Amino acid sequence: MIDITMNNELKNKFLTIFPNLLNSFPAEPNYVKESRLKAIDALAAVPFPSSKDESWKYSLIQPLLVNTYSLPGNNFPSVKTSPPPVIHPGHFPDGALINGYYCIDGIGAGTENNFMLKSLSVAAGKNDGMLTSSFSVNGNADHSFFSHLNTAFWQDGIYIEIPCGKKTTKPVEINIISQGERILSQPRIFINSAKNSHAEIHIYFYGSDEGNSFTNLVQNIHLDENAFLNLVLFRSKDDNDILLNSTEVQQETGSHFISHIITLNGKWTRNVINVSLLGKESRAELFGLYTPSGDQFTDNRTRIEHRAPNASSNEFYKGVMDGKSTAIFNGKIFVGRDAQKTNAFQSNKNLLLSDRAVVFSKPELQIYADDVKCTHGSATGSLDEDALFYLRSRGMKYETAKKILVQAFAGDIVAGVGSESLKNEILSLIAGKFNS
Amino acid sequence: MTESNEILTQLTGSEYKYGFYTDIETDTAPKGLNEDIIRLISHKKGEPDFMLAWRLKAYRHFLTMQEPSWAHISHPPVNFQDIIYYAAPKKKSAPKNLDEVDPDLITTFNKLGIPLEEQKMLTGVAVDAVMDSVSVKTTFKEELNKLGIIFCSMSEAIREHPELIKKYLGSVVPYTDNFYASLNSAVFTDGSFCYIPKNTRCPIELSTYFRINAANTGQFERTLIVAEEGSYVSYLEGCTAPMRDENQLHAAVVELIAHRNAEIKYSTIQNWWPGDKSGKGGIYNFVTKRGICLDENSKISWTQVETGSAITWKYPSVILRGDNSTGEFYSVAVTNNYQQADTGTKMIHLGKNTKSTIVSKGIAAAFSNNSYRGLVRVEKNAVNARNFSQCDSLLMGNRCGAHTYPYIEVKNKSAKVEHEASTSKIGEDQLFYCTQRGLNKEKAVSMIVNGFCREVMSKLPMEFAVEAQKLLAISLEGSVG
Repeated sequence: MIDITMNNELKNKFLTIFPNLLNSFPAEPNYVKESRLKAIDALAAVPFPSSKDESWKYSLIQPLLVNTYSLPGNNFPSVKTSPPPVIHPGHFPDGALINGYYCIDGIGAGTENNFMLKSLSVAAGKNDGMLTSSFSVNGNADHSFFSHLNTAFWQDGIYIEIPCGKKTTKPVEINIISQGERILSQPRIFINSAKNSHAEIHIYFYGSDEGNSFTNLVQNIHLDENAFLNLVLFRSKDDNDILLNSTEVQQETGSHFISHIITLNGKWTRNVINVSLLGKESRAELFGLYTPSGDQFTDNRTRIEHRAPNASSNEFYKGVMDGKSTAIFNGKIFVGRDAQKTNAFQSNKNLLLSDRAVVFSKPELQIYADDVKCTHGSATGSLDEDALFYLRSRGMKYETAKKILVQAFAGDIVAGVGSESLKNEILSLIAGKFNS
Repeated sequence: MTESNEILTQLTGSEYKYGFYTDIETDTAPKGLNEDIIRLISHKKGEPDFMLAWRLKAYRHFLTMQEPSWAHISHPPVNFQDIIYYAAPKKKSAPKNLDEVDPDLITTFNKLGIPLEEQKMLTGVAVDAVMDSVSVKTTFKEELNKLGIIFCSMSEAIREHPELIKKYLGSVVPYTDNFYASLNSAVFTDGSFCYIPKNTRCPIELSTYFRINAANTGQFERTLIVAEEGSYVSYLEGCTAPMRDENQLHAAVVELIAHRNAEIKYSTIQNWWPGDKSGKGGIYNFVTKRGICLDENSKISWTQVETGSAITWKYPSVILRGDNSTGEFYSVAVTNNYQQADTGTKMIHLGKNTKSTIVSKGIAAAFSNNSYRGLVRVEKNAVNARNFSQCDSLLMGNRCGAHTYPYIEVKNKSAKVEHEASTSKIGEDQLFYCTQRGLNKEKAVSMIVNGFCREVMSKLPMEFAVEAQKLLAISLEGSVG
């Protein structure tokens, strides 16, 4: 174990331990080794994020710096064997990661044959062509430091493939779990939706009870022609963990991607999602909901790159801020020269419930093609006095009225979640949170 | 489609019409920037000691700063040592009437279509004509004097009203504010000063015609407008510049101060040389403009029509400090050929019940890039602050770019902040609708562009609105206007 602090020194410590780490993976195929080497070079070239960086301008970096974290030294265990805690009583998840390691116990694998889920290190060992190209995607500029860090040091992760023409009958469930105090884990998830496949995947973050752990997750998602994927990323536990979640999506012709990134709780969350619409007539819909309270912090960054003609994107993020919380929304739509006939829509709405809460909204358009229709909107305000009055004049307490209005506000985002049970779970958690 | 493309090419392909050069002898300082140059400028201007001290402080601070790089623009590095920081038209004697003014100057203004006599007689606009840094002519001064309104060149104000200058200069844009503001504070040569006393409504629209004339002379203008309690002033600023091969730097600073119940309306038409079709030459326009609504119920309104300059970097802002104060920003920015514009506004809400409105229209053609960058900040104590922003972009041709970068920061729950933006080209259906009613395509494009900008154009004072439409027509030549 090596103790490190999250600052510029961190980088140097990582650079120092890297050679040992590389040796501890003798069985790793060359292309993975090479991607780690490239990432470590890239890491050496970028500084640790600071508020002077445009992409970290409003982010509260301080919480990243106060703790020292334990990270694995040169002795990575390949598989974590203890079973994961039960998050949803009554059924097992399809895959689970504890502190970045793949769990083989306590998961319900093999119940369905219309998708394939396995440990990433196992999948990588097979030298899959798909994975080779994905490892070369080296994160995004906005989030590059931590993406490079993950590419160089990822411990394990999950590989999911939905084969050609298959459709999952129920959502694939993955739990990402932290256990222990001040643990830095760096898992990685690959989702490969083959041609004409159809799937819904739910990813739950479950922070440590002890607190102050740090998860630096990177996801690479590829949608082949006409594939459909509805991805839900859900963080609801009121823990003290730091979560950095960086998702890269690439879409081919005619594919349809939907994401719901929902952060109801958690001390510090930064969700980055970058979607590249590479094929014509592809479609992306990004939904987000964040409800920080107390001194919680949420930062949602999206970037949609239109690279092909006739593609469309629709983005809708909503936030409810209470207590002394801080929320950031930064959405960018980029339309390249060749992406004619693009339709892009983006909207961000924020509800401030407290005078001590702060919201920063930065919707951006960067457009280089002329035959496009792009709009964005951002609105920030408080609960509508008329609506409150309407409800209260019908005998409701202020708290009940507030709860109803917040639930309705959030309902727009949750409506697109495919699974009814998850939809209800989210709505009741919101009602519970804003019931005082 | 090809037909409308042809029309677009035609109407976006016009040459700069105001490209002529009046040969007036100038009294110039050597090239370069150092403390001696600053001392020379201050000495030439006959400034009191406090100004020289302030300039030197600004220069020393400037040396510690770096050129900003965050804007969506690119240009070769500016060599600050290759600029002449002082050039004054040779004074024959202080002109009291039009006959005494250098006839070459009058010709220049005539070519611009703004003859001083005509303006004086017909429009009733007082013109403080600034040609290359020194004020050569001031009209209507006596009339304004009767009301106690001070409207003069900055150099004169520094000499004759040092107490006002000491109190207000740098109070909104301090010399430490940003790279170009620091440079301006150190080397500014002239500009306009305007003081409206308590409960006075300025009867005419005050106007200054800036004009860059001598080759290689960066213009460093400094404008300061103070509106005392209950006063009103409308100020017009218009610019054209002769054609020149080398890039010229313009780093102006404008400060507005509105006291209780006062209103300042500041309108700009900027039509400096944008460079030729291949993107060679043109003015670099790096300007800091900021107003403060100091006390209750004050109002500051910025209206701008930006068609010129190779690069525009300009964010007219309002600090809404007084309760119930209002800030407005209306802007049309047109970029053509290789022009780059990164412009927008900042609205800082500090007081209670403060309101701001932002309407920005960007039109990008050919290879140009047009960005809106704006900040709306509602601070903790700004109870019931209200903002509405609308930023629309129109793209003409598939090699240009239109970008929107709004920053919205809200720290008070009672605030209502709305932002909307859209980007599109002229709709085929709109064109069809017009042509179907017998308009040719050229007229149709013209109508649509005029309609697109109307919200902003209607905010311009009468005299300016006419000129603005002319400028739009020139910038997007062929059918518009």
